[in-house]
Amino acid sequence: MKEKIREIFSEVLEVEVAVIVDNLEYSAIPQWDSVAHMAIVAAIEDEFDIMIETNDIIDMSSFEISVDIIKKYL
Amino acid sequence: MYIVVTGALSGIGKETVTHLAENNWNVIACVERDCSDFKKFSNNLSKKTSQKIEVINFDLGDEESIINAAKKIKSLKVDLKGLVNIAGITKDSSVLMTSSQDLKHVNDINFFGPVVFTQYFIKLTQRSDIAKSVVFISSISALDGIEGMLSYGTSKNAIVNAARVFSRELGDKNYRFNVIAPGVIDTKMNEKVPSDILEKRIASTSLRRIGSPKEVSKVIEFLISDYSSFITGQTIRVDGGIG
Repeated sequence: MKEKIREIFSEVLEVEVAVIVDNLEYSAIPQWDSVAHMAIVAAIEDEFDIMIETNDIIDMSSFEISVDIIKKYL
Repeated sequence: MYIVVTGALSGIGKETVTHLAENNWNVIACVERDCSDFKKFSNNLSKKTSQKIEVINFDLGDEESIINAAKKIKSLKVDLKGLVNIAGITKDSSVLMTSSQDLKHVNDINFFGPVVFTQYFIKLTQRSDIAKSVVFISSISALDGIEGMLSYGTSKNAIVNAARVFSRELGDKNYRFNVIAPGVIDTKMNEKVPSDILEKRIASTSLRRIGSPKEVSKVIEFLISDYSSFITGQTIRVDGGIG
Protein backbone atom coordinates (compact mmCIF):
# COMPACT_ATOMS: atom_id res chain seq x y z
CA MET A 1 0.00 0.00 0.00
CA LYS A 2 2.80 2.38 0.92
CA GLU A 3 4.55 1.79 -2.39
CA LYS A 4 1.30 2.32 -4.27
CA ILE A 5 0.91 5.67 -2.52
CA ARG A 6 4.53 6.50 -3.36
CA GLU A 7 3.76 5.76 -7.03
CA ILE A 8 0.76 8.07 -6.89
CA PHE A 9 2.85 10.87 -5.39
CA SER A 10 5.49 10.33 -8.09
CA GLU A 11 2.91 10.38 -10.88
CA VAL A 12 1.02 13.43 -9.70
CA LEU A 13 4.14 15.43 -8.88
CA GLU A 14 5.81 14.25 -12.07
CA VAL A 15 9.03 13.26 -10.34
CA GLU A 16 10.95 9.99 -10.13
CA VAL A 17 9.78 7.56 -7.45
CA ALA A 18 13.20 7.89 -5.82
CA VAL A 19 12.41 11.53 -5.02
CA ILE A 20 9.45 10.50 -2.87
CA VAL A 21 11.43 9.58 0.22
CA ASP A 22 9.58 8.74 3.44
CA ASN A 23 10.43 12.05 5.10
CA LEU A 24 9.65 14.19 2.06
CA GLU A 25 7.67 17.16 3.36
CA TYR A 26 4.96 19.25 1.76
CA SER A 27 6.56 22.24 -0.06
CA ALA A 28 10.05 20.72 0.28
CA ILE A 29 10.09 20.40 -3.50
CA PRO A 30 8.50 23.04 -5.76
CA GLN A 31 6.24 20.45 -7.39
CA TRP A 32 4.47 19.70 -4.10
CA ASP A 33 2.45 22.90 -3.71
CA SER A 34 -1.13 23.33 -2.52
CA VAL A 35 -2.60 22.62 -5.93
CA ALA A 36 -0.55 19.45 -6.33
CA HIS A 37 -1.48 18.49 -2.78
CA MET A 38 -5.16 18.46 -3.72
CA ALA A 39 -4.37 16.52 -6.88
CA ILE A 40 -2.51 13.91 -4.81
CA VAL A 41 -5.49 13.64 -2.47
CA ALA A 42 -7.88 13.25 -5.41
CA ALA A 43 -5.72 10.52 -6.95
CA ILE A 44 -5.49 8.66 -3.65
CA GLU A 45 -9.23 8.96 -3.09
CA ASP A 46 -9.92 7.54 -6.56
CA GLU A 47 -7.39 4.74 -6.18
CA PHE A 48 -8.67 3.55 -2.81
CA ASP A 49 -12.28 4.72 -3.16
CA ILE A 50 -12.15 6.79 0.02
CA MET A 51 -12.92 10.37 0.95
CA ILE A 52 -10.33 12.10 3.10
CA GLU A 53 -11.64 14.76 5.47
CA THR A 54 -10.40 18.32 5.11
CA ASN A 55 -8.65 18.36 8.48
CA ASP A 56 -6.72 15.21 7.55
CA ILE A 57 -5.79 16.70 4.18
CA ILE A 58 -4.32 19.66 6.00
CA ASP A 59 -2.41 17.30 8.34
CA MET A 60 -0.78 15.40 5.44
CA SER A 61 2.44 17.37 5.89
CA SER A 62 4.86 14.69 4.71
CA PHE A 63 4.79 11.49 2.68
CA GLU A 64 5.13 9.32 5.79
CA ILE A 65 2.39 11.15 7.68
CA SER A 66 0.17 10.95 4.59
CA VAL A 67 0.55 7.18 4.53
CA ASP A 68 -0.42 6.96 8.21
CA ILE A 69 -3.46 9.15 7.65
CA ILE A 70 -4.58 7.19 4.60
CA LYS A 71 -4.33 3.91 6.56
CA LYS A 72 -7.12 5.19 8.83
CA TYR A 73 -9.52 5.13 5.89
CA LEU A 74 -8.75 1.60 4.67
CA MET B 1 -24.75 17.53 -16.05
CA TYR B 2 -25.85 18.10 -12.48
CA ILE B 3 -26.17 21.12 -10.26
CA VAL B 4 -26.09 20.66 -6.49
CA VAL B 5 -28.57 22.89 -4.66
CA THR B 6 -28.73 23.23 -0.88
CA GLY B 7 -31.75 24.59 0.95
CA ALA B 8 -33.98 22.94 -1.65
CA LEU B 9 -36.97 22.39 0.62
CA SER B 10 -38.60 25.78 0.21
CA GLY B 11 -38.34 29.37 -0.97
CA ILE B 12 -35.51 30.30 -3.29
CA GLY B 13 -34.02 26.79 -3.03
CA LYS B 14 -37.14 24.98 -4.15
CA GLU B 15 -37.77 27.47 -6.93
CA THR B 16 -34.16 27.07 -8.06
CA VAL B 17 -34.52 23.29 -8.27
CA THR B 18 -37.68 23.80 -10.34
CA HIS B 19 -36.15 26.42 -12.60
CA LEU B 20 -32.97 24.45 -13.22
CA ALA B 21 -34.90 21.27 -14.06
CA GLU B 22 -37.19 23.24 -16.39
CA ASN B 23 -34.06 24.49 -18.12
CA ASN B 24 -32.59 21.08 -18.77
CA TRP B 25 -30.30 20.68 -15.78
CA ASN B 26 -30.23 17.58 -13.62
CA VAL B 27 -30.27 18.46 -9.95
CA ILE B 28 -28.95 17.07 -6.68
CA ALA B 29 -31.39 18.64 -4.23
CA CYS B 30 -30.14 18.86 -0.67
CA VAL B 31 -32.54 19.20 2.25
CA GLU B 32 -31.86 18.84 5.94
CA ARG B 33 -34.42 16.18 6.75
CA ASP B 34 -36.12 13.34 4.95
CA CYS B 35 -39.47 14.69 3.81
CA SER B 36 -42.08 12.71 1.88
CA ASP B 37 -43.69 15.88 0.47
CA PHE B 38 -40.39 16.97 -0.98
CA LYS B 39 -39.72 13.52 -2.43
CA LYS B 40 -43.15 13.67 -4.08
CA PHE B 41 -42.39 17.14 -5.42
CA SER B 42 -39.02 16.04 -6.84
CA ASN B 43 -40.48 12.90 -8.44
CA ASN B 44 -43.25 14.93 -10.09
CA LEU B 45 -40.75 17.57 -11.27
CA SER B 46 -38.50 14.89 -12.68
CA LYS B 47 -41.39 13.33 -14.62
CA LYS B 48 -42.58 16.72 -15.88
CA THR B 49 -39.14 17.90 -17.07
CA SER B 50 -37.47 14.55 -17.89
CA GLN B 51 -34.54 15.68 -15.77
CA LYS B 52 -33.03 13.61 -12.97
CA ILE B 53 -33.50 14.92 -9.46
CA GLU B 54 -31.53 13.19 -6.71
CA VAL B 55 -32.43 14.08 -3.12
CA ILE B 56 -29.78 14.08 -0.40
CA ASN B 57 -30.30 14.85 3.29
CA PHE B 58 -27.64 16.54 5.38
CA ASP B 59 -27.17 19.09 8.12
CA LEU B 60 -24.98 22.08 7.29
CA GLY B 61 -24.24 22.53 10.98
CA ASP B 62 -22.62 19.11 11.30
CA GLU B 63 -19.30 18.54 9.52
CA GLU B 64 -19.68 14.77 9.60
CA SER B 65 -23.06 15.13 7.92
CA ILE B 66 -21.46 17.34 5.25
CA ILE B 67 -18.76 14.73 4.64
CA ASN B 68 -21.39 11.98 4.30
CA ALA B 69 -23.29 14.13 1.81
CA ALA B 70 -20.10 14.59 -0.22
CA LYS B 71 -19.57 10.80 -0.17
CA LYS B 72 -23.14 10.23 -1.41
CA ILE B 73 -22.62 12.73 -4.22
CA LYS B 74 -19.34 11.03 -5.12
CA SER B 75 -21.09 7.65 -5.24
CA LEU B 76 -23.56 8.95 -7.85
CA LYS B 77 -20.66 9.17 -10.31
CA VAL B 78 -22.21 12.03 -12.27
CA ASP B 79 -20.75 15.10 -13.98
CA LEU B 80 -21.07 18.09 -11.69
CA LYS B 81 -21.36 21.54 -13.23
CA GLY B 82 -22.15 23.66 -10.24
CA LEU B 83 -23.13 24.20 -6.65
CA VAL B 84 -25.71 26.65 -5.35
CA ASN B 85 -25.42 27.35 -1.61
CA ILE B 86 -28.88 28.54 -0.66
CA ALA B 87 -29.59 26.94 2.73
CA GLY B 88 -29.54 29.40 5.56
CA ILE B 89 -31.25 30.54 8.74
CA THR B 90 -31.91 33.82 10.44
CA LYS B 91 -32.35 34.83 14.07
CA ASP B 92 -33.18 38.50 14.16
CA SER B 93 -32.62 40.50 17.33
CA SER B 94 -31.12 43.81 18.31
CA VAL B 95 -27.35 43.89 18.77
CA LEU B 96 -27.59 43.94 22.56
CA MET B 97 -30.07 41.07 22.61
CA THR B 98 -28.09 38.77 20.33
CA SER B 99 -26.60 35.89 22.28
CA SER B 100 -23.20 34.47 21.46
CA GLN B 101 -24.92 31.09 20.89
CA ASP B 102 -27.17 32.62 18.24
CA LEU B 103 -24.23 34.40 16.63
CA LYS B 104 -22.33 31.14 16.48
CA HIS B 105 -25.25 28.99 15.31
CA VAL B 106 -26.26 31.33 12.51
CA ASN B 107 -22.65 31.59 11.36
CA ASP B 108 -22.29 27.80 11.51
CA ILE B 109 -25.21 27.29 9.13
CA ASN B 110 -24.80 30.34 6.91
CA PHE B 111 -21.02 30.59 6.64
CA PHE B 112 -18.96 27.68 7.97
CA GLY B 113 -21.25 24.98 6.60
CA PRO B 114 -21.44 26.38 3.04
CA VAL B 115 -17.69 27.04 2.96
CA VAL B 116 -16.88 23.50 4.12
CA PHE B 117 -19.39 22.00 1.68
CA THR B 118 -17.85 24.08 -1.12
CA GLN B 119 -14.41 22.75 -0.19
CA TYR B 120 -15.73 19.21 -0.63
CA PHE B 121 -17.45 20.13 -3.90
CA ILE B 122 -14.10 21.36 -5.19
CA LYS B 123 -12.43 18.13 -4.04
CA LEU B 124 -15.03 16.12 -5.92
CA THR B 125 -14.70 18.10 -9.13
CA GLN B 126 -11.09 19.22 -9.39
CA ARG B 127 -10.15 16.52 -11.89
CA SER B 128 -13.06 17.31 -14.20
CA ASP B 129 -12.58 19.42 -17.34
CA ILE B 130 -16.03 20.93 -16.96
CA ALA B 131 -16.06 24.66 -16.25
CA LYS B 132 -17.51 24.73 -12.74
CA SER B 133 -19.51 27.50 -11.14
CA VAL B 134 -20.44 28.03 -7.50
CA VAL B 135 -23.10 30.49 -6.41
CA PHE B 136 -23.61 31.60 -2.83
CA ILE B 137 -26.79 33.26 -1.65
CA SER B 138 -25.96 36.19 0.58
CA SER B 139 -28.30 39.10 1.33
CA ILE B 140 -28.54 42.86 1.07
CA SER B 141 -28.20 42.80 4.86
CA ALA B 142 -24.58 41.69 4.28
CA LEU B 143 -23.89 44.86 2.36
CA ASP B 144 -26.20 47.43 3.94
CA GLY B 145 -26.17 46.58 7.65
CA ILE B 146 -29.84 46.25 8.56
CA GLU B 147 -31.13 46.82 12.09
CA GLY B 148 -31.93 43.62 13.92
CA MET B 149 -29.82 41.46 11.61
CA LEU B 150 -26.46 41.18 13.32
CA SER B 151 -26.08 37.40 13.12
CA TYR B 152 -27.60 37.01 9.68
CA GLY B 153 -25.89 40.04 8.16
CA THR B 154 -22.42 39.16 9.43
CA SER B 155 -22.71 35.55 8.30
CA LYS B 156 -23.83 36.64 4.86
CA ASN B 157 -21.08 39.25 4.68
CA ALA B 158 -18.50 36.57 5.47
CA ILE B 159 -19.81 34.61 2.49
CA VAL B 160 -19.17 37.59 0.20
CA ASN B 161 -15.52 37.64 1.22
CA ALA B 162 -15.18 33.86 1.04
CA ALA B 163 -16.49 33.82 -2.52
CA ARG B 164 -14.00 36.48 -3.50
CA VAL B 165 -11.08 34.54 -1.98
CA PHE B 166 -12.21 31.27 -3.61
CA SER B 167 -12.45 33.08 -6.94
CA ARG B 168 -8.92 34.51 -6.65
CA GLU B 169 -7.33 31.18 -5.72
CA LEU B 170 -9.17 28.90 -8.10
CA GLY B 171 -9.94 31.09 -11.10
CA ASP B 172 -7.23 29.43 -13.19
CA LYS B 173 -8.43 25.96 -12.14
CA ASN B 174 -11.69 26.28 -14.09
CA TYR B 175 -13.85 27.48 -11.21
CA ARG B 176 -15.98 30.60 -10.85
CA PHE B 177 -17.53 31.82 -7.60
CA ASN B 178 -20.22 34.47 -7.38
CA VAL B 179 -22.68 35.75 -4.85
CA ILE B 180 -26.27 36.88 -5.11
CA ALA B 181 -27.57 39.36 -2.55
CA PRO B 182 -31.36 39.17 -2.66
CA GLY B 183 -33.46 41.99 -1.27
CA VAL B 184 -36.99 41.50 -0.02
CA ILE B 185 -38.14 38.25 -1.59
CA ASP B 186 -41.49 36.57 -1.07
CA THR B 187 -40.40 33.63 1.09
CA LYS B 188 -41.06 32.24 4.58
CA MET B 189 -38.03 34.15 5.86
CA ASN B 190 -40.20 37.28 5.94
CA GLU B 191 -42.92 35.69 8.07
CA LYS B 192 -41.49 37.04 11.32
CA VAL B 193 -40.79 40.54 9.99
CA PRO B 194 -43.44 42.97 11.28
CA SER B 195 -45.72 43.94 8.39
CA ASP B 196 -45.06 47.69 8.74
CA ILE B 197 -41.31 47.16 8.44
CA LEU B 198 -41.80 44.84 5.47
CA GLU B 199 -44.04 47.37 3.74
CA LYS B 200 -41.50 50.11 4.36
CA ARG B 201 -38.72 48.01 2.82
CA ILE B 202 -40.82 47.16 -0.22
CA ALA B 203 -41.80 50.81 -0.64
CA SER B 204 -38.11 51.76 -0.67
CA THR B 205 -37.43 49.68 -3.79
CA SER B 206 -37.35 51.37 -7.18
CA LEU B 207 -39.72 48.71 -8.48
CA ARG B 208 -42.10 49.23 -5.50
CA ARG B 209 -42.80 45.54 -5.08
CA ILE B 210 -41.53 42.38 -3.43
CA GLY B 211 -39.31 40.08 -5.45
CA SER B 212 -40.15 36.47 -6.26
CA PRO B 213 -37.98 33.39 -5.72
CA LYS B 214 -38.32 32.77 -9.46
CA GLU B 215 -36.61 36.07 -10.20
CA VAL B 216 -33.66 35.08 -8.01
CA SER B 217 -33.50 31.59 -9.53
CA LYS B 218 -33.10 33.05 -13.02
CA VAL B 219 -30.01 34.97 -11.92
CA ILE B 220 -28.70 31.81 -10.25
CA GLU B 221 -29.08 29.91 -13.49
CA PHE B 222 -27.31 32.68 -15.41
CA LEU B 223 -24.36 32.58 -12.98
CA ILE B 224 -24.19 28.79 -13.03
CA SER B 225 -24.28 28.64 -16.82
CA ASP B 226 -21.52 29.54 -19.26
CA TYR B 227 -23.46 32.67 -20.21
CA SER B 228 -21.60 34.23 -17.29
CA SER B 229 -18.25 32.70 -18.18
CA PHE B 230 -16.28 35.92 -17.58
CA ILE B 231 -17.98 36.77 -14.29
CA THR B 232 -16.35 35.67 -11.08
CA GLY B 233 -15.77 37.03 -7.59
CA GLN B 234 -18.82 39.28 -7.93
CA THR B 235 -21.77 40.04 -5.68
CA ILE B 236 -24.93 40.80 -7.60
CA ARG B 237 -27.82 42.49 -5.87
CA VAL B 238 -31.26 41.21 -6.84
CA ASP B 239 -33.25 43.71 -4.81
CA GLY B 240 -35.57 45.71 -7.04
CA GLY B 241 -33.31 48.74 -6.62
CA ILE B 242 -33.78 49.03 -2.85
CA GLY B 243 -32.51 52.30 -1.49
